[in-house]
Amino acid sequence: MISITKTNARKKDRSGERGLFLLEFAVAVGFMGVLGSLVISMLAQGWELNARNAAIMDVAVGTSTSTTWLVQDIHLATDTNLPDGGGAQATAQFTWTDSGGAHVCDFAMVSGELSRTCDASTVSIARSIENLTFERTGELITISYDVVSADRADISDSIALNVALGAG
Amino acid sequence: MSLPTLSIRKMKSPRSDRSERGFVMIEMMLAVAIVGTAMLAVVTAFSSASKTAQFVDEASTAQWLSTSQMELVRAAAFVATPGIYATVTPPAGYVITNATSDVVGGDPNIQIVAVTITQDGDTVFEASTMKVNR
Repeated sequence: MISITKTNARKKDRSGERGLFLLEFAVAVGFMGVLGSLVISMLAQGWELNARNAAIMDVAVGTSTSTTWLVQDIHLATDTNLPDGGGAQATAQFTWTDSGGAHVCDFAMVSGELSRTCDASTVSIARSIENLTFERTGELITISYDVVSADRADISDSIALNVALGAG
Repeated sequence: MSLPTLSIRKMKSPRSDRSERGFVMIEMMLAVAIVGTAMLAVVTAFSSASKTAQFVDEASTAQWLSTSQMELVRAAAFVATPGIYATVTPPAGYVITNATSDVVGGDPNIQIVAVTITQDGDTVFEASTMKVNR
């Protein structure tokens, strides 16, 4: 059996040291506690900041990729199924022709992603897209949508992209 | 039979009390310096990552705004220099301006349209295109 006896801090021991161990120990614990809380707080903030930065980058990539595809296809297009002045539509079809013949590209939302199907080949060009609409005014196509981070709903870009039909 | 006892006491060092006290102070200062340096490095890294993300976000937004504005100019009827074209509605914090100028030695039916995008007063993107009256 083991018992722990309290060291008398006031009395000098045989070597002549005063028993300041408890006070030093308390100071050390306090000091480490302050440092530890600072480090934990900083790590928590860093974690939050890192998640936010990742979401910002995610949205920026989604914005860049989607606009690149849309501009490219609409510039090439010579025809669309969007009626001039017909208001906003959730999907759109663009047709363009090259030496290989006519190509038809459909843009639509599929499972929260902006999907592009050209000649029966489908690719997802941006994730976490919301409120997608296409609208035609003369030869100008306006595509409106939100790119929302999959992990952080407060990080998003609201895009209203104008592209001139067949301008490429 | 006597019970074994465990007493907590200061470890006896071969150094004198005086040198031991000094060493404790140095150790504490070193610990503070090391932790402080590590924390500074972490803060710097976070700050740098945030600036990069902010820059990418601004560049991405400015790029689609510029594209959108250029396309609007392209689809609009020709406006003689020094007129300006209608602008797209930018997100909060962004301002889009455009200006027209004649080409050097120029044909009045050909102009340069310069688009500038600013965010909170700072220019973040500039681009220009040619527009022909046809």
